[in-house]
Amino acid sequence: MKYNILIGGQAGQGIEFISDIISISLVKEGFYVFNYRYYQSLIKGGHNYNIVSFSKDKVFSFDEEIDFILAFDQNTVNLHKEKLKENGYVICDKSINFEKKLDFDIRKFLSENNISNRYENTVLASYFWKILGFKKDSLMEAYERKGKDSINLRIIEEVFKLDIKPIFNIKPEKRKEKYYLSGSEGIAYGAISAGLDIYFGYPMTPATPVLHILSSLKDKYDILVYQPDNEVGVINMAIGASYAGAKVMVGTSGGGADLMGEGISFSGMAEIPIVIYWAQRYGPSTGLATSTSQEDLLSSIHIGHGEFPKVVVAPGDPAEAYRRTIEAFYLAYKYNIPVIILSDTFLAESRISVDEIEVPNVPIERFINLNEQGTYKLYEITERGYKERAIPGLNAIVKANSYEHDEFGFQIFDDHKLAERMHAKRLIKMFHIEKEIYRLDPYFIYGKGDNLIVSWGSSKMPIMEALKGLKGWRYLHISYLNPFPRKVSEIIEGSRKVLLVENNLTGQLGKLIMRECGIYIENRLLKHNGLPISPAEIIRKIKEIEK
Amino acid sequence: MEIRSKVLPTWCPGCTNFGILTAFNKAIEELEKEGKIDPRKVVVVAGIGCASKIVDYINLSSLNGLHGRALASGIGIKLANPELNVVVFQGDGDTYNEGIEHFVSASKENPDIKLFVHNNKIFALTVGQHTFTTEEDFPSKSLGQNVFTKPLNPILLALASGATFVARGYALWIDHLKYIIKEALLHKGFAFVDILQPCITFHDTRKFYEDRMYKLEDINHDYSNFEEALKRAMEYDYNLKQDSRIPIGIFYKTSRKTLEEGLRAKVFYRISRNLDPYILSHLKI
Ligand SMILES: Cc1ncc(C[n+]2csc(CCOP(=O)(O)OP(=O)(O)O)c2C)c(N)n1
Ligand code: SF4
Ligand SMILES: [Mg+2]
Repeated sequence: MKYNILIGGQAGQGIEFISDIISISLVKEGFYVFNYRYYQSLIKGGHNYNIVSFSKDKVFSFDEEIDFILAFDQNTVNLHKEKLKENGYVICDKSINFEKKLDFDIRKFLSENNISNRYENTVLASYFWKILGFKKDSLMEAYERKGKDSINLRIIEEVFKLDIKPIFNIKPEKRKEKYYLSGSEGIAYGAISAGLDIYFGYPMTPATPVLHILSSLKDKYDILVYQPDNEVGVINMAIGASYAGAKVMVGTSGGGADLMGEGISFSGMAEIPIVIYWAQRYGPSTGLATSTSQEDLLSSIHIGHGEFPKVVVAPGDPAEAYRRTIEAFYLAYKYNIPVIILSDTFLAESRISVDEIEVPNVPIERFINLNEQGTYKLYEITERGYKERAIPGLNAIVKANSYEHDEFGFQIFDDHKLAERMHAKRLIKMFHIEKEIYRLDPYFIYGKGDNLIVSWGSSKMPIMEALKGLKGWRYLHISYLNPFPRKVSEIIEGSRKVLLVENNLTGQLGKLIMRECGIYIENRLLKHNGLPISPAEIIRKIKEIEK
Repeated sequence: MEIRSKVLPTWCPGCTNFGILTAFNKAIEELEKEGKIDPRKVVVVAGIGCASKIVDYINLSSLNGLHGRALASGIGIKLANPELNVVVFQGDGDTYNEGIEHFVSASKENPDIKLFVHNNKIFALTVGQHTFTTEEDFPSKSLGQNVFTKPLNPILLALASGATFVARGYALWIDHLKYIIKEALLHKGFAFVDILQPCITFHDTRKFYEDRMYKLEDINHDYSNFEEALKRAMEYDYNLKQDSRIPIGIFYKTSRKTLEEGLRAKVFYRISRNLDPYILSHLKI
């Protein structure tokens, strides 16, 4: 049995916080959870909600048929009542109107106990917990974990003393330790595990959480976090820092990434490694700041003028974000190239519980040669196209250049023969990277069957959830998009029916598969309204195809 | 150590950039002799333009970055390794046009790096368009008429933005320039020197400058006095007026916490980091 709880209210009412508390408490009761966050680009008012799904089995995504609506204002009920299942309930304060509600006089409770109105969400959460039939301990542990003041604990104690019936009597599962993380945490912790020294970021939703998480961890892990003047400053500073020997990541969304384009091209030309965390959001230009989308696949592959090697990798869930970030650092610093980690609002903001987080089998290294003398041949033309770099400040003179250059890094003017060899030397790296990524599970196949769903990035989450209820369908999840693992063509061609699923209008992965494998996928589920794809939509589409 | 590299300059013969190259190389050689600088720890950074070609002629580690962005890259170098002496060479186009935000933010944030601007009041490498410091009435190739807007005063801008070392030099007064460069190199914090560098091909202002310059040391200018610095900065507004008087030397010098101190930057490459999956335990429930 899977339950979905919608928790809604205005910005500033602590909706995200309380959803997190409920999710953590559910994990403590032995369940798997998925915590989806929908929010608007405003600070107070408006409407925000989370959907927390839980089950004794693994949960890969949320559903839109809701069992419980935890309403912190009337608007939440008005907006979401259609989603309520027949036997669903609204859980709310007495003042909220709805036929099928289970309510509690929050204001009365707070004034009787002499507690400020700020704590209304703790009161409602406690009441909810009690009617679900859970013990207060799990809820209290969640508050303690979040480091909240003791008034919350007193509220829980007091609410549990009241005569409230455990109406739903949901049986807890056996408690087992799990990881609980968001996509943003997967990226941030992955970067630290990969040996991050410096993170540069200019705030832009939905990349900002990584900036905040790393800032909060900077002293603990001896890293530096800095917010420069703008994204052009970000990328050029990052390149300087990497040239001087640091492991560096930058983070932004599409608009900031566009500003970084010239810098990314510079990284490719000067062969100075850099990891770029690119969290997509809906639309061109400023778009819908807090809405999700998968619109930047082709622009990330093509960003930066001229031809130069570059890797684009798109994790599909928070646990995969962790491993792909470690791999991104490995590839960037081994091959001296820019590597883009492509995420989106849905991945960055969703929290998920998992039993295991895979750690990739790659060395954590700087790939720096500290023992050179004289002028270093930073750009030596080797068969592989790459070699360990040297850094300034030691005995070697290290000259890096954004102009076309000779092997020592001096600018060249009219030596077109040398330009030709340099150009080829840089691009030959892609050939080696392509071979290397086959060691890194560039794609996964989930499930069994003759038919195939093909997708990438965060759409993995609803597809995995949908797969639970589908017979005869497999899912091909492609994580490395540049260089493209062309071996997937055998899998696609070997399938009976194929469905392409993407969170965009033009089917960008479809275009990429056409270009790399020469296969056109006709069946498409393309959603492009700023909301993530739901498992139900996928199942509906497949029923249609199967007819 | 021989600071001049073997590369043959592609500057026009007689270009005043040679003056800056000579003054800089001498400054480094002298500071090395005086035991005040280790050339191996000096990194020169450049943007794009005639000015920026300088790094290829210097036998030190260098990063030749993007047009307008060398200053940002220089800050990054310093944050990654605060033991390095970071010197940025940019043109006026680099600094006051394409990358002006980095100039303002470096002045404000005070990283301990040096910025030497080859100010020829022109985009020289792209053959002669006006920049933000070009004077009124200059016939610019990209305007189709004479310049009609007031030039920017970079000395004033640096002072207003909080730079902790503000100076102006002249490319052909090599000894004086060398003295300013040495002072800048020894300053702890963001040091900015606007170097008047006549482009003898597109905008030859040598005579104009030489008839009107005077040294701030000669009038006993007190560079610790901000008000005095502002007054001297306003004396020349970068227009070429007949009655201009052009002060050169150090306008202002003060000290403030540096960016890398505030951020507690370390020599990061020396930190050995291993994959420690234990950090994931923070995510466990
Ligand atoms: C992004 C970008 N825009 C434009 C150019 C073309 N460009 C090269 S040098 C230059 C002007 C350089 O002027 P300045 O910085 O004053 O240096 P100078 O040549 O005068 O020494 C321009 C506009 C470029 N390289 N990159
Ligand atoms: S164009 Fe002007 S600045 Fe450029 S090299 Fe020639 S004289 Fe020097
Ligand atoms: Mg110029």
